[in-house]
Amino acid sequence: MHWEEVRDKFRIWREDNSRHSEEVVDLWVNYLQSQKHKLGDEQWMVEEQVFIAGLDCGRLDVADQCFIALSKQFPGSVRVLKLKGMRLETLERHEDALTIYDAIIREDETNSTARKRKVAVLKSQGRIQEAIKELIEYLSKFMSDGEAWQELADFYIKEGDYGKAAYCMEELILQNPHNHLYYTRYAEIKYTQGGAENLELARNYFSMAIKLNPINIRAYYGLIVSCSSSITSSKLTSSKKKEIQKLSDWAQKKLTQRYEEEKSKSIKMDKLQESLNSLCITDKSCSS
Amino acid sequence: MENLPKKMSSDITISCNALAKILLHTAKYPHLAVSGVLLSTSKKNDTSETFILDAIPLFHGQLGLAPMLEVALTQIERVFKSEGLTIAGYYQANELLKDNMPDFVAMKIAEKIAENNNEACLIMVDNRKVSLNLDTVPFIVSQLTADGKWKNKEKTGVHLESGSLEITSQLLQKKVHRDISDFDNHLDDITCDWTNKQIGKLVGSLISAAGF
Repeated sequence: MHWEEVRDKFRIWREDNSRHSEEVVDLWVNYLQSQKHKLGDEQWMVEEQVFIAGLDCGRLDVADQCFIALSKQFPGSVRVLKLKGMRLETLERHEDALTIYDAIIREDETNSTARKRKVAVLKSQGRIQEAIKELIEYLSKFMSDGEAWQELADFYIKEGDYGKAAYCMEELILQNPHNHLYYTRYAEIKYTQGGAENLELARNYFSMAIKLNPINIRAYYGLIVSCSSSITSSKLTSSKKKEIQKLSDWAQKKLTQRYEEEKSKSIKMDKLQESLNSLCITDKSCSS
Repeated sequence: MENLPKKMSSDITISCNALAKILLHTAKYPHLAVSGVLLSTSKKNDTSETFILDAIPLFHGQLGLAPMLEVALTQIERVFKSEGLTIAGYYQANELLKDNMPDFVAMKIAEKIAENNNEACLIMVDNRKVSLNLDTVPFIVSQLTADGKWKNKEKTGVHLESGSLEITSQLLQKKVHRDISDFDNHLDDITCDWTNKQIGKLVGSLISAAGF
């Protein structure tokens, strides 16, 4: 693979916020590391990316090389200091990492990443209640951070506190009224809470998600199960029941259509995959 | 459902297919919790041991929401009933490396499954024992006792199809975990096959190639 191809891949992953840690380490070691001087200023962003990927995969050898390069280039940088904290987290030296993050926050009160790392440290120690507390405090200062609201919702779902999780999703929907994924998640939470009123909300929010994105499969399935739960569990008038049944039939029809559409394509894909698999993997297995 | 006092701990055997799929699923999302269900052949009499034939990977990341779980369970039942398979348990790998305790979600789902199958088992993946060269089953297997508590099974009561550890290690080394699909993947892209037939076939061919 050409080093420029790898550079472009890394660039895309940085922009998407998708880590692909395993691949990043592989590609770096095999193709990019020897060419890193050609990257120009981008080198430092790549070094940071590889550093984090190295920590993710337990490749401290790779991470440490990047860290040395970064600290030489940017002595006294707060951003590099944060990376040092993350390295300590990997080594499970949680208290030392927290000391670093606290120092960063003292220096720069608006540093949001150090605050978020603190939440991550608590989470990795399994101290969920404290992590929630820290995250709430963070959100009182950085109210528009959607990622943080999402994390808080996940914490609450994990704790079984669906009411509070729903509140977080409401906040996210207000901030992003066109994001179908938030409507879907909100509906899923409401369905899990149960009860006639919540089921009705679930139906409405699944429907809204479909309206915003007509190929949201999760929302079609969600709509069907919430319709059938409403029909079997609650005391509804027969006209209301009919209406819900109609909605469910419609979702069912749409879903079947989607599967039909993909069927012809996927049969071809299946065949392709099969021939690929029989080519590469079984060959290797015989030789190993 | 019969509520006769059942004799605990008939032995459990885990197939290579099930072991491989659970661990591939775990390896695909090293930074997230994952979950799925176990399938066994329907029992003809209750003297025989439980044979976990297959595993269906369900979710990664968020495991605690009901709607998609209900959809998945209904679909699984519909697809596998004709093959004589029933849902015989639940597996989960937690997000944190050192955490191998079932949380309330794991217990609740496993208990639901146990309502229909009183031999149902709950498998927690012991993350720290997962490696590229497996030397032991990295699972903590438990079953519901007559008084409604989950009790860990003795290691001597849990068997593995022979060659499973070697074959699963091979699959992990070859990064086959990149190819496994769970139900979440299917909901994002319906061409993803949550039954993972390809991996099943691959495991089958590795077993026969190795002569186990």
